[in-house]
Amino acid sequence: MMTMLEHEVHTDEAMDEASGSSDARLVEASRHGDQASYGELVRRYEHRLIRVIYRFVRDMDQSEDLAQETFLKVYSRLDQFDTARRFGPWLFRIGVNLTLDYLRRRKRRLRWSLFTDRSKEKAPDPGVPDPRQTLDLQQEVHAVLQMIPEKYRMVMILRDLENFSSAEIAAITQRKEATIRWRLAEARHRFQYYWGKRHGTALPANFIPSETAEKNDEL
Amino acid sequence: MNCKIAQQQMALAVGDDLAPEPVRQLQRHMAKCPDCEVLWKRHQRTFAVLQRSRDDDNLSRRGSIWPAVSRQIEKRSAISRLGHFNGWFAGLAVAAACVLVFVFSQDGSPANQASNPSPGRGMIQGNFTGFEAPKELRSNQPNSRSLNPDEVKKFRELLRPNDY
Repeated sequence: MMTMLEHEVHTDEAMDEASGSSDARLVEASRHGDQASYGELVRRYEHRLIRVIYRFVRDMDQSEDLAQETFLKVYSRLDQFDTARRFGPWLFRIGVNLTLDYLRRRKRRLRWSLFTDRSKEKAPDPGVPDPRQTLDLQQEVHAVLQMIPEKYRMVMILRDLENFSSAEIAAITQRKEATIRWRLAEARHRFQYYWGKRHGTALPANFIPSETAEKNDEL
Repeated sequence: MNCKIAQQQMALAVGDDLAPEPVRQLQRHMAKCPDCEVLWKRHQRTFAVLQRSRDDDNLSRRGSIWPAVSRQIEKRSAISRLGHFNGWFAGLAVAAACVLVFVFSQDGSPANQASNPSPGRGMIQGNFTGFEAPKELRSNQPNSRSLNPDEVKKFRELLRPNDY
């Protein structure tokens, strides 16, 4: 049975294919200062973009802020867009890059605050239940995803959570499709490994840990 | 197909990202490799977990962000227009200053030249007779002379403060 999201994604894709030239026309009109055309482009892509960003940041307000920032950046760079190419992957590339930059900044800030606030840390109170126990499935999946290096995680999120095809991910990340497939396999492999480890599931005797990931990374 | 390749392939096969022929090869391998089959089942379980965690219903659609984006675009273009205006304004101010300097310099010269010849030219040509020092005090003149002792004495007396 097709889930609501799959249906929506397929609808988006169909709409995208049907209106491929229309995107280019809207971009062209936007370049000439027609804000209504740009508004049409924003409305066409905003929900999917916000959802993709949300997969990374898991905060709806922040996702909307980042989506707004993405559309502003795209608007300021419309002159650089090649209308012979598809608008969607270009938009998502800018959005995903902005999101990853935001996450890196947040991580740095968090590290710094942990370093500076060390004296304020308190030992966990045994009387209070460990909040980690209340993590629901999504949070747990998110926690495991965070263990996977960014370049693999990004591919896995776009493919397995947002149903982008390998070709679309290749266009978004500007990598070869073979690289994307490699990274996807690696990401699923690692997810399976960390998930099993987290839940204390023994690995099969012939499980081969990925060693060649870095070597084959830049295919 | 060995176990290493099979494990790589099954990670793709679990999400339908593998072509039919490699899938058949993988199935043949798993039929004779129970460990890989166990791993395949685990891949299927974790993939199902991942799919369940998508939580699409909670990603409810809010209102469009276009009004906010539109406002930001307006704001930025206004700032940009102001920047352009400031650039023109600065350029015009510099140009106006240059014009004023030029006009004043042109304005002063003819009058000065008519009523009061330039001191440099006058002095060189000897036409200027305004505040010329006496010939005796101009030491660089050929007819200048040094003071004799009596004159020096008299000069010192003149310089001495008055006795009250």
